[in-house]
Amino acid sequence: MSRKLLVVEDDTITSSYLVQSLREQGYTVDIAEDGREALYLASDGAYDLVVLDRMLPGLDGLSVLKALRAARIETPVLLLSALSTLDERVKGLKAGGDDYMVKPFAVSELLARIEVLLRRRSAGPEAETKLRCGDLEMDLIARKVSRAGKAVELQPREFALLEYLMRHQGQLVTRTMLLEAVWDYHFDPQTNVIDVHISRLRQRVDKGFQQSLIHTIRGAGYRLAAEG
Amino acid sequence: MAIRPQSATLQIARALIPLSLVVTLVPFGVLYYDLSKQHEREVATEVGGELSMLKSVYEQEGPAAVEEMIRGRLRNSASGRMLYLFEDGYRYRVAGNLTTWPAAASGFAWEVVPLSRSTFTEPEIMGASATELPGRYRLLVAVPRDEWGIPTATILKGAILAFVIALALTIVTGFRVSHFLRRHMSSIVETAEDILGGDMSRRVKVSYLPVEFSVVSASLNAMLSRIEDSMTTMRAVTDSIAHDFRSSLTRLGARLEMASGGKGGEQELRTAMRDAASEVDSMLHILNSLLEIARAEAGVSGDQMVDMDLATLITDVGDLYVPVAEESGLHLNVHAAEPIQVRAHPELLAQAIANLIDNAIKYSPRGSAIELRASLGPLGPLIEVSDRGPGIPAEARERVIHRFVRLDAARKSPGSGLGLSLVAAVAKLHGAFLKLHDNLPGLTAVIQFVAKPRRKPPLSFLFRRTVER
Repeated sequence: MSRKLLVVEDDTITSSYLVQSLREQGYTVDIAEDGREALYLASDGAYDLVVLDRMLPGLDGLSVLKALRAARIETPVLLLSALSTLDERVKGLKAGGDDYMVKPFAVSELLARIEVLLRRRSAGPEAETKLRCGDLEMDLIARKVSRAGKAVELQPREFALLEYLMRHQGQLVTRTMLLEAVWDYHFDPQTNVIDVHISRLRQRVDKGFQQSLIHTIRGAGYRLAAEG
Repeated sequence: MAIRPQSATLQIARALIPLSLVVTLVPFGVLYYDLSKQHEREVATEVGGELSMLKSVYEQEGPAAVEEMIRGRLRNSASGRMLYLFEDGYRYRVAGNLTTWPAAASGFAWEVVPLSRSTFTEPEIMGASATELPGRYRLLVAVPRDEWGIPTATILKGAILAFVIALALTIVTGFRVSHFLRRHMSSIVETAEDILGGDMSRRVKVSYLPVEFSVVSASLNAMLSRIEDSMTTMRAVTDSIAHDFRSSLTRLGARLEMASGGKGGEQELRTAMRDAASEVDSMLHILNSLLEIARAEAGVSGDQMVDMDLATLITDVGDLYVPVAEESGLHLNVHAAEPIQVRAHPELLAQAIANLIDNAIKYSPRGSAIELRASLGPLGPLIEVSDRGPGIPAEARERVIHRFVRLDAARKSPGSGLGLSLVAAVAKLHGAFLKLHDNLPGLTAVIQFVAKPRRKPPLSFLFRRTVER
């Protein structure tokens, strides 16, 4: 079953590029070029996700979002904006946005975030107490990790990092996403801070095992998966 | 409230006219009241004397003598300003030049009442005294108020004259005040016009102005300096962006051109494209850094500043960087002994510290240590990042804080040359400053918070309302 996405973006070059990338990923994509059209298309709730630019002719992105939420349409919305201040980010999320990306952005990052939002929706909100990936097990209550029955000692941050990867296993997770989720920093460090932390985590989790679970996706980020 | 523009002259005059009216008319009013009371008393005494004289004539010589006396006085005009009414028991006028008795009572000491001289004339206000005489006769003596001798016309003339003079002075004052305002405003206006004309360096001359104006002008000058500052900065940024991006774009263009024109295979094309993508990445990185600096320099709204603990902050950032340092064969030691409260923007401050650590890691020799410390200095809280790298020569320390400045020695290592300017901008945003010291050897970067008193413009007591918002 193919997922249906709505891309709301008034810049035709950006939108056609986005749409092409999304179609390559197997999504069905519709385009709206202004706020009114977006509201019209999205108001039946038939989309799995809306990628919404904030600056739009007619009705601006935030108003579209507020109108949708007021109409109890809970389709996940990923906001795109050239406005990068923390204020704007908070404003966007408060209005009911599920994620916020600042332009210019890397398409791989956008794809990764879309994937996370779609999975989150299908996963449902029920609380889990144990996460599992292959022979790696994480007990969220006892805060213990074991691989093939052997305990793996982790620092609190390493635990948080692994937890995020496990919750999104099989998905591409970018460095920015990790920095945001685990450290709650929204800036772009100059050195590859995240790479170092991942390589430490790898030492604890993958070292001495035949099969690696943490995979590097070149030029994009990481993926935790039992195979491939 | 709609405010229509009006000249200051008119407004000042309008405000002063009621004042001058009060100032001139009240004294004249008081004067008039006192004088009229005094004259009334004199007249009353005079009338009382006449009445008692006539009464004693009546008692000694009877009604006919009184009648004769009144007639005689009226005939010879010897009565002066006095008017009489002498009636018998039948209320018939025996003598006198008044027509009707003014009151029910036949005797009264002093009344001010309307009385008529004849049936055909309008009654006039008069002061009168009356007495009842034996044999049911009665006698009244009166003086019209007009003849009491109150100098009404003189007082009125004086009042009008005083008012006219006050009015004239008011208008002159209005003109002088507005001229004064205009004269002192003109230096502000001229400055503004010069600036409109493009000369951003012009400032209002403060020294010649009265205190109230110099406060305004000083504030204006400070504002102008701030604007000029940001314009200069903006120009510098634009230039730097243009320079950096132009060279990046040129490289990018050349690479793409070579790839498309060359006869290389797919492998070669892929390499060229990957190079191009990484060039774009680095441009994006620079752009993001610039935006962050701009954002820090533009300031953040107060509600984003929170009370936070520096020790916790550097522990968190240290936590992020300790493994990174170890990866480069360095030790990052975090010293956060005691909680230190500051009001700050946690994210920006974290980023500034991260930048300092990034730099330290970049320039430290293998095996050395980097110290990250938060402490309370004599000036206020401070954050220090010290390394054992080559340091920065004293004369270059000021310069490296500017955007895109990278010392020649550092040209080969990666970086945009924006790290320290972001730190400086973030420090400024917090009312702190960035200072670079020699670590003998190495570099110590200090973000020094200054415990500042509440910010008030100079002489703010003159403008309390604008300050206490």
